[in-house]
Amino acid sequence: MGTVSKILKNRQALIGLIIISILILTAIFAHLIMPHNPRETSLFQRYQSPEGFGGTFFLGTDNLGRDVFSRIIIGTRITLQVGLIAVGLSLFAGVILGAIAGYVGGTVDEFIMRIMDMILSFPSILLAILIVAIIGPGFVNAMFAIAIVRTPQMARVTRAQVLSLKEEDFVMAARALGAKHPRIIFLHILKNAFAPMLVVATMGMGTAVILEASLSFLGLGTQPPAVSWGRMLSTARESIRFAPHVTLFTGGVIFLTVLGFNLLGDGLRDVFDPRLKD
Amino acid sequence: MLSGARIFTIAVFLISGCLAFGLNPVEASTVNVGVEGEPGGLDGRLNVGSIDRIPINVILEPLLIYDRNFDFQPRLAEEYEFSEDGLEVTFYLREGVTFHNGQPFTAKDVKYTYDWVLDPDNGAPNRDLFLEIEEVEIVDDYTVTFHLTEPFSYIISNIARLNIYPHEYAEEVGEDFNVEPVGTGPFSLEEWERGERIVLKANEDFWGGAPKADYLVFRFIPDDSARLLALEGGEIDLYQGGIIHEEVGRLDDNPNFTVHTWYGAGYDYVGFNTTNEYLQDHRVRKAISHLIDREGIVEYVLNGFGEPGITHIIPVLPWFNENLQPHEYSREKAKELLAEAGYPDGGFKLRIHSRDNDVNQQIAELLQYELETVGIEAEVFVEEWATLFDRAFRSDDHDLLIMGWAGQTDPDRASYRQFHSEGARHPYTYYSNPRMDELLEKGRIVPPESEESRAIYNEVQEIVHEEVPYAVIFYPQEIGLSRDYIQGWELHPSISFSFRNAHKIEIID
Amino acid sequence: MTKFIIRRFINIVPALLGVSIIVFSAIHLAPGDPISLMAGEEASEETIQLIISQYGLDQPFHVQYFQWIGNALQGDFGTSIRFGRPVADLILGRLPASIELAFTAIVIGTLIAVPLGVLAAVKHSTWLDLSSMFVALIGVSIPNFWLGLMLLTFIALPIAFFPMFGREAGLWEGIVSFFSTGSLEVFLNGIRYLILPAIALGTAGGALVTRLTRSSLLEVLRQDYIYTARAKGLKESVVIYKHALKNAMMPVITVIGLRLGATIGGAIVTEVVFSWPGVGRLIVDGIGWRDFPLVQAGVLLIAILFAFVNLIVDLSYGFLNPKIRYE
Repeated sequence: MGTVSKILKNRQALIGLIIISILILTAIFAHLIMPHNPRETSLFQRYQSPEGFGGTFFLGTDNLGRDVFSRIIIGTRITLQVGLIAVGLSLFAGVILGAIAGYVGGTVDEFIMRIMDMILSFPSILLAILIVAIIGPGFVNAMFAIAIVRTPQMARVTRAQVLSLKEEDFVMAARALGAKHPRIIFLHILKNAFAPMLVVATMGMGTAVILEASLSFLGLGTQPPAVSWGRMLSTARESIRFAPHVTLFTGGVIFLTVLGFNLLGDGLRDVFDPRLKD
Repeated sequence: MLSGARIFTIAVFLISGCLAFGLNPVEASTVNVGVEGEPGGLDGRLNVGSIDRIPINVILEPLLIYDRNFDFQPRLAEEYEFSEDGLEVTFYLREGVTFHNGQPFTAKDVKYTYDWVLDPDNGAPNRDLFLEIEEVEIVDDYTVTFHLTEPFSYIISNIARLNIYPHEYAEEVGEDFNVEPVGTGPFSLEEWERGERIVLKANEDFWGGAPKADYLVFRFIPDDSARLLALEGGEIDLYQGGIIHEEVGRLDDNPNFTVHTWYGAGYDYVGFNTTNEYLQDHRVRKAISHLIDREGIVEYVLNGFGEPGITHIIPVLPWFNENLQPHEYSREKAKELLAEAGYPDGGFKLRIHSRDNDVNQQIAELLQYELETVGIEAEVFVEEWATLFDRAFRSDDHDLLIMGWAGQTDPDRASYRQFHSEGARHPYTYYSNPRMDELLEKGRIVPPESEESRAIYNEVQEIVHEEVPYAVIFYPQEIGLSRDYIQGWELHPSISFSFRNAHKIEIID
Repeated sequence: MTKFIIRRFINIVPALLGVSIIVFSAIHLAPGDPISLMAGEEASEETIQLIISQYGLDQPFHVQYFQWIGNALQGDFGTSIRFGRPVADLILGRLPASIELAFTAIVIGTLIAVPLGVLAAVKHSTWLDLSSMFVALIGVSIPNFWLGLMLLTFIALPIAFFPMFGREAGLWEGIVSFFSTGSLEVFLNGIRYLILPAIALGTAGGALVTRLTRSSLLEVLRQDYIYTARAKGLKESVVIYKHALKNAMMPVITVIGLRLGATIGGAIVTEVVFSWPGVGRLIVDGIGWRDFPLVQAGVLLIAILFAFVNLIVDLSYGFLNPKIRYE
């Protein structure tokens, strides 16, 4: 059975995949789905309650009378962008560093992993806050901060994979056949390390989404006019008494997104590592 | 190892204990006040933020204060008088006042306090307020004369901002004054629980009469909604500022709460970098001012708790120019002005930097959308105070700033720093106008109550209204909330002065 | 083993040095300075510069750093610029609140998480397993600040028993008061404030522990010696609780330990949501004030705690599994 069909057969992975596909489609076709301009303010229509299907404001309006539903829709873009790029960057950096550390070993390994340990010795949100304090708030900066925070984990996983694969027969064979170092690392080892990396990266998406939301919640992430769910939550906070719908829906969507990535991650792990699956 | 059953028993025990315990009844003689933050220290010579000064101003007192109508009231001085040439002010001090540690208050303490603040080595941030004071002379135990280097009509207003420190004690404890302050005020420091609260105890010997409450507690609750909930839950009895406007109506209808309102002493505004390529033309600045829906903002963002902004002098002051009207909200008018300036379709970009409070953020987002409608692309940056401060005063890296001024209690204070080309807070507009400089310099010398003074500041306001270095958005109202059993508390336009008369606050049954 | 501990400590030192350099430069590179923030609106630029030089903040970066590190090595972490007090006092003053919150969060999380994980593993592939795993998945996916907001809105708001913010006397004071007065009042009042923030903070960690307990136990249950034990006719409960669980707990304890370090520092957002006076919020406020002695010491403390907890976790392996040797 092919990997793809195995993934599709896995219930968790399938549900996760569906949630994520919906998110991706929403992000791509946001402009077709949104009933309102998400930035259009209308002071006399502040804090409208959700009107349900068919109403003007499906999920109600926020503190400036903007349509919450449209804002959630457009917010998928930032969220997915931050997640994908931050995870992509950390994956890139982590794989290179981890592979070098694991393959070369010795002082180089020691040096790289010490730095990774250093990053890991900060709680991630604190490090992200410090990074943003230097380079300033904003969506791109938050992305970098998240990428840096997430790199050590990727590096560790890669290194562990590389270490365990280094002595395996097929790598030895490649070496005996005279393959050059970088070639050995990247073609053979990484091909085999791909599956666990994919699992870690998928799970990492969930973490990255939460980190971005947390940073934006603290006012350090995405800045307006870009619409980010974390920021929506932070502005909705003071209206939680009389307009809880903004907090409820926005937070709910963050939760669903993270859930989607975790489901997919779990499913992928089960598929790639059947030992844990019965 | 604990067995499951035992853990269960303990849990049941704990939970039932919790339920039986319930809420604390309000202690009859303790008034709990919610405040936004924790002071840095209680030495007001070094800690000058409004959060710092709330408890400091209960513990210590100045020579005189200005009340909530901006009239001066005697405090440690019973009277004062200016000499003919305006170069001397003499204060006649209150007799029989003692500090919390029992030492009597005399002219020595006044001289000590001013000498200390004026000594550059002590690094007092408010030193600049008193630079016109050349010498403080002790005439006798209860008389002091301030000698000025040049006449400065508003020096009294600054003197009302400096509390008097006990000279022997302050010298003795040095830096520790921050945590062991001693003053003459109605309450003295009892305990400071870091991160949680400051507990003040009634000073039974207060010259103005023993306080009605036994304890005054300031609890630090940074979040606006948490502070409101704390009031509703009975954990605090009153607070001022950071009120969620939408909630006020509900509390007003509830007999358990009292809503206090009073005019504020400040305004929120858009400050323009007048050296910007586009903003150097005052028509562009005025056009942007016409894009601000002041009435809408007051009605919806402030829920009516404020007045649309006109000029930088607040309307309750006698110097306010009655002839001026707010720039009306009109996209047509804005387009006309932009066309006159040569930008009929906009076509340029600006950045809006805003403080990170909710109201300023909302205004930034509204303005951004409005600018879009006239073809100006705007980017909004909401920045924490440290960053925004640096941007505004240290760099010229900004276009529009959305911020607020508080404590604008006299026209010099409201104008000189902001619009004089050498004013301390001038850099971020870079506004420069020789006529303005001339007026502001003259305003400092003529007597504040004179017709001439009004004429000067009326013209200052006309210039600001026409040239728009600031677009004043609104004058916010001060709002305070209290439980119905609180009496004797009066809102002051500056929150740090609202507890000067804390001895009058009482809990009634 | 002593050797192992010493080596671990030596290994921590360069990491801590690195951390201190990162934090020091972070705060110095960030725009804004502590003095102009404190000096407020009245001070002129000259006065601000004067005070800056009085604090020695106009010195070159490396001079300031070496001065700081020199003092720190002698145990003097400096004086907070904002609070004018030794930072060590300020941070240690906040530490009980942080530890209390992190500890309770982990205890609550673990008390629920481990049994749930065991249940899921024992009742493998039944609806119990599925629903436990579903709950755990929700726990992992829910952002803790949103959970905090929801708890405030839907629990604390309608139920007056739960306070909306802050902290009263700590648990430790409660215990002291219990032994001195025999009354649990202070202790229980402390619990009342602690419970919601602890749930918000502990959920994600707890959910991880549930998942880990389950997978770890499942793996152990497949081992030969378990089959042997079963074959010997031991009761299933004895097999699981006496033999399997002990071995399955090793990775679980690791994760719980690691969570303790992460939770103390990572509680920042929860502390903000619940106005909890912990170290995390002190650090965030410190960043806002550009109060670098405070931030520096706070972050270092968290890094040290983190390293220390990791060390204890490593050592605890030895007690659970004497076969492991420290080299």
